[in-house]
Amino acid sequence: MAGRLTRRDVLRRGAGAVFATGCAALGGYLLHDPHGRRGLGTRAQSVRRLPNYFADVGFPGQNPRMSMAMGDVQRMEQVVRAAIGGLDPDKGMRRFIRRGDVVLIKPNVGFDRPPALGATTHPEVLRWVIRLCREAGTRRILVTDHPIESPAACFARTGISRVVEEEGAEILLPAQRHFAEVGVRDCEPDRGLGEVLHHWPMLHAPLAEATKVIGVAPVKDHNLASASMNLKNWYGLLGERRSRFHQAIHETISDLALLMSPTLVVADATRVMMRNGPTGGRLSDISPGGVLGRPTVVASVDPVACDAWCYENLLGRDPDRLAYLGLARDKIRARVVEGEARFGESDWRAYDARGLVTMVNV
Amino acid sequence: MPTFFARRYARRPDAIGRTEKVLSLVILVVVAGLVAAIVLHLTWTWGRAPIPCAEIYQQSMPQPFPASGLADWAAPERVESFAPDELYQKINGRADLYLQHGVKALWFGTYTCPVNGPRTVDVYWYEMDTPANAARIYEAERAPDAPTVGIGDAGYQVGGAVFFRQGANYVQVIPGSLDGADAQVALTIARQLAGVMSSTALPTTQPLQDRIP
Repeated sequence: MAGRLTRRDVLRRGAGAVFATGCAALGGYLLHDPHGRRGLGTRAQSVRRLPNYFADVGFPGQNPRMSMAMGDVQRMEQVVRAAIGGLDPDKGMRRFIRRGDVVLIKPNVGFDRPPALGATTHPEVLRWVIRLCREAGTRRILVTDHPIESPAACFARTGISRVVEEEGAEILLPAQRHFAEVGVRDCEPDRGLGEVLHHWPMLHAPLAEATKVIGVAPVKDHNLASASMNLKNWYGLLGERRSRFHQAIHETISDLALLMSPTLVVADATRVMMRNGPTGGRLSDISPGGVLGRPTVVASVDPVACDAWCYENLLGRDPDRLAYLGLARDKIRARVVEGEARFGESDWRAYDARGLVTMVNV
Repeated sequence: MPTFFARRYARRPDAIGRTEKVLSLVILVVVAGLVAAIVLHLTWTWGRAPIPCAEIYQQSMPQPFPASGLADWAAPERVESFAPDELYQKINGRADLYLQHGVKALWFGTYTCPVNGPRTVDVYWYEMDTPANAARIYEAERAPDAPTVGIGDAGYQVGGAVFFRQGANYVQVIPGSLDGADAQVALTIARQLAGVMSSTALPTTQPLQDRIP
């Protein structure tokens, strides 16, 4: 009879519907990219490379490699100008930043703590680094970090967001779309050589946009790495579950030193966390200028040497015992031998002996 | 001229049986639901971070933080809790030291006051596995010359912040202003916390396993 559904019809049509649905689901599963919006490209094609942000600075060989300035926090402008100006008395920040540059400044905003506790970059040090970049004619200034805690809360509580807004720079709060696989080395890491990273998701979007990168890191104790300074600052760019590197912290920091060749680093020693790092929490853990006893800012074109100097002269410790310094030196040296323009000397005294270290009281 | 399918399957609407209509509708709904589920799952994993475990857990546990005992100071509206393997999310590299000392959980909340502020006092409440380990981590971080305060089993105050231990608990009470302006506030809140620890069951009664990921 017309219009009546037979059992055969139900079975046939039901099977067809299930088959169609199953094909759709299978197609969705096969087409789904669990690694993000990279289409159907292979992992090798989607790995980014970072440029050498120091390569076109044209830094004169006779200029100081490290410059320290000591002074009161109320005179932060003079202290920061003196520190950076010590690297090139004629040009100052213009040695590093040219008109039209897009500058990425990477402070340490890793904790939801007030600035007095020394766990994060002092906002006034950041303010004057931004101001000097603007005076040099930057087109755009980005400020970013990737704290594990709520980024917005960290930027606010540390005073960083206020200063960035007042100085007309831009905060880039990390989002999923800002991350991409970044290659550290072309081959699998050799654990025997202290290598850990092959390629890893990093906060790549601002790095890709920037023509210059400046790290501004506080100097502080760290219970795993012994200290957190310029090289450890790049750890904040790592994505995914970066705590897995805690068991190979020195190897990871030295790999980051190899990966990142910044334009300039500025060590913030206005208040040094001498113990209980990296979080601190006690004013008694803080010392202005650390062992020096006076707020200090250190500017350098050699992040490894800068860390060595800060470790010895601000934290009062032996840099020969800081494992990641030697590892970083060896890894960078291999690149320098290949012709890459960058510095990575762990023995800061070698610079001092050649008159390439300056210090000024403001 | 009707197509092959139209000629084979086309029928007047009134010729389609009721059973067939119901079955068709069910199949359509199931297919639409599958598509929606796939789309939602993909957008969820691409565009959003999953709800942190701390937030999920906070929704199912009672408020461990007591009232401040002070006018204008409100107890934390939102409490974060961290299991040992999540501790790094709050205290980063410092977590390893606490793991070595047998930490079972961290409870974090912020007391707030809108007057002359906003002013804040952060509380880090570490639940350790034994009183001995609470004492060890307390001593490891203790400021050597800080004046002691009579709170809990042992305590001291430095820069306005109060640190004390009681039983298997190690607590840090840290004002947002470290110039001493809220030192008395931190002391009062610390005493309230110590009072809760001595008189009620600890948050350990709440399970930290099998939580919604």
